[in-house]
Amino acid sequence: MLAISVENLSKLYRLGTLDRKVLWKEAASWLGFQKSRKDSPEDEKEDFWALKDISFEIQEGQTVGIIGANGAGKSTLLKILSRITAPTSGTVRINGRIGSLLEVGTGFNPEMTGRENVYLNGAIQGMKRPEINAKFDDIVSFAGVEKFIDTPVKRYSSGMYVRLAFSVAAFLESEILIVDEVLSVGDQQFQNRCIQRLQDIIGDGRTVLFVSHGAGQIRKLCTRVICLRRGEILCDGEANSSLEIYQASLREGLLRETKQNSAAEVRFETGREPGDDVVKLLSCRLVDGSGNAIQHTLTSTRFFLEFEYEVFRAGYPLRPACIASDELGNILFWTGDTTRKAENAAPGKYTAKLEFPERLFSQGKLSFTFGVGEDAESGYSHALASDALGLLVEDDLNDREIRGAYRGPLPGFVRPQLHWQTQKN
Amino acid sequence: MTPAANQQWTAVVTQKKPLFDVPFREIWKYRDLIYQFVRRDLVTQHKQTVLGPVWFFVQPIISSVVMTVVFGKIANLPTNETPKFLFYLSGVTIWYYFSAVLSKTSNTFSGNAHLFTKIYFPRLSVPIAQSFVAMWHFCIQFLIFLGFYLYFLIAGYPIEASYRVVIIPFLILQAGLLGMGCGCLISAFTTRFKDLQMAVAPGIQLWMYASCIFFPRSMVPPGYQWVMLLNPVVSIVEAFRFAMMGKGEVEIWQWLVSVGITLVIFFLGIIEFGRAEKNFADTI
Repeated sequence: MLAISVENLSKLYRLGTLDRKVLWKEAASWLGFQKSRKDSPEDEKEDFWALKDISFEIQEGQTVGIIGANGAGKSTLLKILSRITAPTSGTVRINGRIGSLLEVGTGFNPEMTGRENVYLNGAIQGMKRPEINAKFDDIVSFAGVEKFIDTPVKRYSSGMYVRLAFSVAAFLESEILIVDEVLSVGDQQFQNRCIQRLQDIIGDGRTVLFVSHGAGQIRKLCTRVICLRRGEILCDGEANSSLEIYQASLREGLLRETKQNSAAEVRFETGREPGDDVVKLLSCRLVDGSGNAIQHTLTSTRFFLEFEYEVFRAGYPLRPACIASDELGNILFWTGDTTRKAENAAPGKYTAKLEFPERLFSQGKLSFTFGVGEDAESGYSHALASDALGLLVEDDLNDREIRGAYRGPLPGFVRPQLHWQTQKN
Repeated sequence: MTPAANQQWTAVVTQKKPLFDVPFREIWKYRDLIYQFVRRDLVTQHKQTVLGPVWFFVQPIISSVVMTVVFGKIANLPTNETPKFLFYLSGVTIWYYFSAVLSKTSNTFSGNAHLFTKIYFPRLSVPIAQSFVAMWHFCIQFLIFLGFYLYFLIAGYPIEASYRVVIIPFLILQAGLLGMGCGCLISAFTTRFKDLQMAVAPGIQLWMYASCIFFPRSMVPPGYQWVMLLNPVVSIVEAFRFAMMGKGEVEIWQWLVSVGITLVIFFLGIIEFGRAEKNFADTI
């Protein structure tokens, strides 16, 4: 039995904004003032195919990873599979109810109690009342909010809120489950429980789609991997071989893509800033020594990561931190600002600036995840921008300090200048 | 590659959709969701208000008192020989219900964007739930009306209670369908033209003035009677008055025209709603 069948699926997006001129034209054509609603050729330039003629089938009980770089079409595919938007052409057939761990807590009402929200959210996800009754105790104890279940969720801590939301979704008895890299919810202990829960679900023989742009968890959980690249299927097959092809293509397209697409500077959209009611990130950029925004640099040059954040509520021991990872999502290291005493940060705007010295990284594409968390035992993250900035580091072949006269490729993730002592005996 | 055709599927997603494709079975499957939406609205509505549901009693009574003074006493408009206060209260009660359904459902897409862009459920369950909420409020307000009605009846005012009240559930259903149809139409168009959202509140007000809420149909000059005929609310209001008090100006054929217009608007609304729902996530 097939769980999902996707045939010749395409999705077109119109780029550009809906300005008044466009709307007037459309209104006029509806009212019959203007004959043709056909797009003029110039409009076609703004078309963007997020998915181009994609076909695949998924058997019942398979665990399939869907991988692809940002903009490869993963989210569009998920939106179509979960019926949020319709395809431009092609057919998707689905057998069974689709549940998703993508948007946990959608439809939570702050005024209502935890109990009421479990029922409301369960119903939004398509659960029937008896089903929720049967699962209710599991949901509450998984979230660990037994004591507060009759309290309005607006009084919950953000951790409790997210845990409860996640639990409802995790206990949804859907035949097909779509999982994003959500497993960054809550503290470490809760994350472990989530992975355990996910493995139980896979063990139950339910169909699971696992979406990610990093290979790590996909390799662990999935038997089959579909790779997307620029709206097309790059490869589809057994997990390891598929991931190899994906990684090779990443390396190949690395240089070109980075030079074109990577954002040097990001100003988060108002209302969409990463963060909670305590801290929000405002903007971020990578700059060189003289403060110019950069998208690529040399191994022999130092650079800085800068980001601005705003603290809204006092009483939290906040500190900015950053994770540097390579293009495959392997984390190279974590670093946090331990120089400032992370006492209760006063509300207001802050700028964090982190220096990466020359000769730290080797060549390759770097990706930076950063945010503001608590300098406390739990280390709770209030605001996190995942892979918000990317940087291409090119090998400085003339860097004699480190290479000497050698001009060929060098291996490794890092290229520190270490202290050598070699003597003739 | 198509063993796909020989299998049962719970959902088939394509661009092509029949013009009239209302997922009745799916909506029925999601009836718990409709119940939860209704519950959410009723539960959260009166949190942190002192008087709570008392507001539902206050609203129509105040309006009717004001109308009795302004239109009844000062402007001295006739009221079909029924008690002025009851005349206005009957009009206001049914009008509030209709306009509540209309204004709540007209907000469906823009008010639920955060839900609709993230998770799928039959979208029509939202306006349906909203209509039930409005209907619940109507029930409360109808009870108040009944209270005053019984008082006037017992006190011997010239109103006539009769078997005709059996038609009232149909009138309520009709007002609900009409309100929901208009609301769905508006909310479907607002996904592209946000102007409409601004027009809803003044539009409803204008509509009220054209709906015989504070004047009887007979006051309208003969040259404008066709407007009254085209406005399906007029017949609902007058039929409501006729059923309750034995005085109202509506012929059977006028009511049937109104029912016809209601059904047309309702189905148009649902069709446009279904069309808007498909690509809403991309156009918002």
